[in-house]
Amino acid sequence: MEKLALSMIGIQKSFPGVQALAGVDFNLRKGEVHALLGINGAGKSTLIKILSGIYSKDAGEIYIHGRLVEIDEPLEAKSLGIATVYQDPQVIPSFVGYENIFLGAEAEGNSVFSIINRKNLKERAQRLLEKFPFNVDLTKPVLELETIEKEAIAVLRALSQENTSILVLDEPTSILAYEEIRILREQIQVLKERGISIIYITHRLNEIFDIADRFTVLRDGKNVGTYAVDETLIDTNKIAELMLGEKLSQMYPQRDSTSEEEILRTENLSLVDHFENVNLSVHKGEILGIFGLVGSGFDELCKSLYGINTPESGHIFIKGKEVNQESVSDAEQNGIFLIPGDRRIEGQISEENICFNTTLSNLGKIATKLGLIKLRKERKDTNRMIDLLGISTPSATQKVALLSGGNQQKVVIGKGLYAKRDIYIFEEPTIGVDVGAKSGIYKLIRELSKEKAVIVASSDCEEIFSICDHAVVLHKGQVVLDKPINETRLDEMLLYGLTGGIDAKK
Amino acid sequence: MQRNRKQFMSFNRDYLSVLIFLGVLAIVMIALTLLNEYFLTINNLLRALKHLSIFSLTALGLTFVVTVGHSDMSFHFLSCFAGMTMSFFIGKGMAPLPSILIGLLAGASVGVINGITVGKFKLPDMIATIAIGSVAWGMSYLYSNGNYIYENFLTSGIIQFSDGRLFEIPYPVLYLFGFYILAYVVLHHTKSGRAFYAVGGNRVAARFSGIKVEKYIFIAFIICAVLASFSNLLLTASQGNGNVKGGLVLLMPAWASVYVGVSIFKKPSVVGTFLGSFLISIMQNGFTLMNAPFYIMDLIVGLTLIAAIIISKTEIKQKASVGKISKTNEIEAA
Repeated sequence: MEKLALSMIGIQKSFPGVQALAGVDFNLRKGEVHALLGINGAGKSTLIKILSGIYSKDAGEIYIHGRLVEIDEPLEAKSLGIATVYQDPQVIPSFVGYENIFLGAEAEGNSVFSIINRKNLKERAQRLLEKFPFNVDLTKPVLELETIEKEAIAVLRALSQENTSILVLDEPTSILAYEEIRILREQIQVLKERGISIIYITHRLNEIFDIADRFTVLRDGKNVGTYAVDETLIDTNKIAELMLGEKLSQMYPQRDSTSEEEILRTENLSLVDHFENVNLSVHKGEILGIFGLVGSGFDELCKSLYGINTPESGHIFIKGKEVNQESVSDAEQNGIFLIPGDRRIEGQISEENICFNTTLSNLGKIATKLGLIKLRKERKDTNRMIDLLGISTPSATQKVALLSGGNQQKVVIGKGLYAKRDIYIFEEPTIGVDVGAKSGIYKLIRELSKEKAVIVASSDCEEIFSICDHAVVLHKGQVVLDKPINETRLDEMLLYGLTGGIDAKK
Repeated sequence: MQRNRKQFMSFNRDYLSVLIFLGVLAIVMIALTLLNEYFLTINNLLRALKHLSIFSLTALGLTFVVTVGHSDMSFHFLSCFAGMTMSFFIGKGMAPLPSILIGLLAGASVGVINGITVGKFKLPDMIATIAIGSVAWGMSYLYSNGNYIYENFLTSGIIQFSDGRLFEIPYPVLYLFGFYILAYVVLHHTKSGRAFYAVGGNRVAARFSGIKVEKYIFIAFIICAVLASFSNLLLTASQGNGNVKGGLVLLMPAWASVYVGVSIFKKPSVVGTFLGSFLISIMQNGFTLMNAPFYIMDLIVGLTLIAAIIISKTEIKQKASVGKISKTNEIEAA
């Protein structure tokens, strides 16, 4: 018992009509990194919110360092040394690092006129950095910093509370690139050495092996099991099975033979500062994968193929014919559709319902010649799309904002399918999507590629390696690797993506 | 089971806000009836309807701009320009119909400038439209140095534009239903309507879906300008003179009407705007009957607008906690 930083016993929590937590036991050893896993709706965030005082539990006991406590308010959690860093670092962009760290705790007094002593703040920040040596410049405005540095500032803010001993990191890596994840790992090591216990929530299962000491899987509001990472012979598939509760038939769908029919080809496509001389060739029945880190240019490349950006030079050929593509309307004419990487911003109209979103790119199909919408046909077509894609929703008139990430992504894909194009480009198709929905989306993409040309661009190397037939690796806007998947390896792709292959050539 | 219940509850909530609105409307009407015996008479209700017809058309135009996620602070200014342009040509002896058309054209041209400035060049809508509107208002002084224009008003037949009747129905009431039905079909039952909502809901996603965002913002500003101009032309005709300040009264009631509509249906809509205009018009009519000074009306309309905004925002906040709406979207919208 002595060694437990936190012990939660029999935690229960219900919301109207749903039992979110049905008696969960969870314990955290001192100085360990404990991964908390589960698909969306399994109860992870409810558990964390109870721990940080946002929700109050219906039943159960919480012990911190062996002492029974009641946490009813976020402030109580804070005073007990529990700090949470959310997915999207909550920082004020125009403030410099140390101002963000001590936001709201700048001065002793609590009056509006309490004077902020910058020198004192800087010293406090310096002392914090000595204790937790992160590589971050605290005197720069946060908007000039990289994502990992923002994350570091959010973590430092959590640690600025002297007594912080339990740190919750909620999906810290979902917005980080590979190199940054490595840095984060080092930072977590530093925290461990200072005796801080970490609860680590993630969707990326392979991270667990690098970062965590133990992991706990939640399913349907229950603890399915807690395992030591190095003790059991587990792999990501087994963990996924635990999370899903049924045997994963296969995460990644079977590959098919590809045909020779070339549908899309680019020659020397260039966009200054983003990518240079990109030559791609996509065949019917094949999935072309583009792997690159965030900032490698794959985002701009995809958008150029969809007419959002206009490349400075180069040519695009569709079925052998050169096409002119300067706008989304041109792309529409050319039969191209992009399922964008940031679905909340680029993909969906969150406040509208599934019907509205599904038909948005092909309104002509449900409209009369005068432009009047045939509502019944729209509903029928949308229902068919919901069945086809397996979108779980009470009805076709459900607001997209109220769906889970995976279902939202399916709605955006549905919009693309409904638009009936020849070439589909998926950018980061499974970001923020849980494991269960992930394999469904992969299956869909594979199914689609039988009829159409498909490009998948992602910063998740394993994703590209596992579902694509041909891989192109982008590094700083240059194509550094261009091979059929069966002639390359995951580590080779990763290496080229990270370094551009310079080390490999040595 | 649980899903059904959830759906039922959300249905109930939408339904509830309509009921609350009808309750408020009933209370206002009962109060006005008790305060003034003349309120609930056919003659007065017809007068209220005519007032409604004029003001609610401005609100209808504004609904389009709010639907695409923008604000227009120029429509009252530019409607003065339209009104004075029409009055000028009436004064010069031109027939009513061409004068009306030239007036509308004048207002529409300012709407075009709004649309280009905000849609194409993406300048901040509030500031840009205030500036453009001020210029338009300034121009309306040029025709008569800011003096009233009376010439030919009684003889040209322009008064018929607002006082005429078809089968006993006042023309403005016909305009009201004509424009509202047309707008309802366009906004809620056509491809273009979808596009307006898509642009207002998420501009970036609309663009990625192949919708010509700039075009719809442009059109919305023109619709707003034309309908505000139309309202002020009616107002000018019914008052029998051209007044440079005539259209300024359109600003607050239009905003209040649109936002009362948003507070009922959670988003701008033709029916919502109509209900909003109805409430505002009834209140204005009641206060006029009681000989309340004009600033009391401004006060009441202003308070209604604030209340409506608060109600519509609270609703969005509640949704945000359930649906996890992305922060970036809100920033985008702002």
